Amino acid sequence: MACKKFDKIIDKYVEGLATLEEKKALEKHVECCRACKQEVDGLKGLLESLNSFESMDLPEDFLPTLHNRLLKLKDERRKAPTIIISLQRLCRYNFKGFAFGMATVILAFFLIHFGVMPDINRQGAGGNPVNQKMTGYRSRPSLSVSSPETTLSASPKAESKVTTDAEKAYEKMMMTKNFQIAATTKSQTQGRTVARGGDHITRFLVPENKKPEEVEPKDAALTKIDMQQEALRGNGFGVASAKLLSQEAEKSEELTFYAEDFDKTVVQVLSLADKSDGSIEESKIFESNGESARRAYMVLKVPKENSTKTLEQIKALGGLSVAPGPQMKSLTVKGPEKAEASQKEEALSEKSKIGQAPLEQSQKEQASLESKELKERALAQGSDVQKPMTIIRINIIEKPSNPESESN
Amino acid sequence: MEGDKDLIRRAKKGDVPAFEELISGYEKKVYNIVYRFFANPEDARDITQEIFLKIFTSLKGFNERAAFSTWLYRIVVNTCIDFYRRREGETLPLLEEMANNEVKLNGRTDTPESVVEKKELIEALKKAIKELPGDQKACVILRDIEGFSYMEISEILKCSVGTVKSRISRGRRALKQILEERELFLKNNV
Repeated sequence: MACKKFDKIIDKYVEGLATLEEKKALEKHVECCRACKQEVDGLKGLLESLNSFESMDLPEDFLPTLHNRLLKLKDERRKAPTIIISLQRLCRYNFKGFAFGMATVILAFFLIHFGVMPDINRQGAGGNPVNQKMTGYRSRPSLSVSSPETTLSASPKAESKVTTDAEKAYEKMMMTKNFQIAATTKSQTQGRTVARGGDHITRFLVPENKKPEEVEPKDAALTKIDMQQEALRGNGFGVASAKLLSQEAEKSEELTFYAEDFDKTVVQVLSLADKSDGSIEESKIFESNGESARRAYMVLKVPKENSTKTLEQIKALGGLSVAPGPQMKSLTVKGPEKAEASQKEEALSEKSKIGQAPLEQSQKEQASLESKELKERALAQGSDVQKPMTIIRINIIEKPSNPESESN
Repeated sequence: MEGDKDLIRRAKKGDVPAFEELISGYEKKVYNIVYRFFANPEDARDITQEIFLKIFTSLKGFNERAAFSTWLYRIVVNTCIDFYRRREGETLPLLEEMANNEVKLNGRTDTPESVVEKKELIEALKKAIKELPGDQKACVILRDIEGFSYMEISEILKCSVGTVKSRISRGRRALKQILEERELFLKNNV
C-alpha cells in the first residue's frame, strides 16, 4: 500500500506524465519507502504487460459477413413496419426487458379479460364510466337502468322486500307523478333508477340514522348523473333531460313550510308546476324516522314569466308569510323533535289507503298522458328553445298532530 | 470532415456502401476493444458484428454535434458492458485455467522460460481484466491497451477527466491485486 501523498503521483510517474519535481520527489521517497517502491514496480510491470498486448486481426469472414447482414437488415427495414423492427431490436439487445414487458402486457390482458378487475372489465365490456361510478357509489350491482327493456327486470317487487305495504301503496301512487321517494328503512342505503316510458323515477332507501339534509345533495347529484348517463346512451329523452339540466336558470327561489294535509299539498304543488307550464326537476319524500317529521323536497322549473304567480300560489298553499330567496335555506323550520314512529306509520298507512282508492285510477290514466307531455316538453326544451327559467326549491314538512310540538 | 458528413447523410438513408466506407478503419479497433472485454475471439466477432448493425440502425439518432468516432466508441463500450452484464450469471472456468499458469509480474529475462511466462502472464491478464467492474474495465482497456487519451475517454464515457483518472487508478490496482493474489495462491499450491 503506497503512501497517500504519493498515490496519485505514482500513476503519473508510471505513465511518464509526472513533472520533473514530482519525479524527483517520488524517486527520493522510493529509496526509503518499501511499500511505494513495490507499488511503482508492480504498476510499471502491469502497464508494460498491458501495452504489450498485440493487436488482433479481424477474422477473415468478418467483413463479408457484416456486408451481407447489413444488406439483409436494410431489406427487413424496408419491408417491415417500424414497430416490428423496434421489437426485433429490443428483443435482440435487451431480451430480459423485452420478456418482462411482454409478460406485463399478457398479465394485464388476462386480468382485464377474465374479470379479476371487475370494474375495468365492466367498463371495457360496454358499460360507461359514469354508470360504474354511480353504481359504486350506491354499493349495488349495476342497478342503474335507463332503457325500457331493462325497466321490466327492475320490477317494484324487489323493492317490496324492504318496504312496508303502506309504503308500497304510497309509492305506487307517487310513481305516476314522476316522484323520487326516500323512505326510511332499517336496511342500508339502496337505490334504483328507472326510466319508464319517458318518466324518470329514482327511488332511494335512505339509512335510518341519516337525516334527509345529509342525503339530499348526494341524491341530487346522482339524479344528475342518471340523466347525463341517459344522454350518453343516446336515449332521446336522456338527451333532452341532460339538456334541461345544463340550462342555467337565471333565478332560484326556495320555500319551506308546514302542511297539515301533507299528501294533498304535495300533489297540489306538483300540479302547480304543470299549470305554470313548468317541469318537475326533482321530487323526494323523506319518511318520518321517529325523530323528524315527514318531509317533501321538490325542485320545480317554471318559466320566469310565471314564476311570481306560481310562488304566490305555493305560498298560499302553505299559508306562508316568509319572503322567498336564497337566504330561506337558513330559515328552514325544524320539525317536532319527538314524534312516535308507530303513530307515523299508522298515519301513513291510513293516508295511503284513503289516497290510493280515489286516486289510483285517475292517476294511472293521467300517467301516460303526463309522461307524453313531459317527454315532449323535455324534447322541446332540449332543442333550440331556451326560455328563461326560474328554479323553485320547496321543502314541505308535515305538520304534527300535536300542537305542543310546534313550539319551535 | 465534409466527406464524413456526406457519408453519414447517405448512411442515415440506409446506403450500405456509404456506411461501410464510414466505418472503414474502425472495424479492427472495435474488434480489439470487444476482444479485451470478452477475451474470446468468437464472442468478439459476434458482438462486433452486432455493434456495427446497431450503429447502422441507430445512425438516425446521431445528432452530429459530437465526433462520429466518439459516438461510435460510446456505443461500443455501452454494448460491451450490457452484454457482459447479461453474461455475469454464466460461470467461467477462470481459476482452473489459471491453475496451470504461473504469473510473475516483474519477470524480464530473455530465456525461453521467461517468454513462456510472459505469454502466460498476458493470458492471465486478459482473464483478470474480465473480472474488473464494467466502468473500470472500459477505462483500463481504452487507456492502457488501446491508448486513448484521458480527454477522449471522458467524451466517450460522458464523464469528467477526473472520474476517468480515478477509475483507471482503481482499475489498475484491482488488476494488480488480482494477479498478486493468484501468484500467491499458485506459490502456496506448488
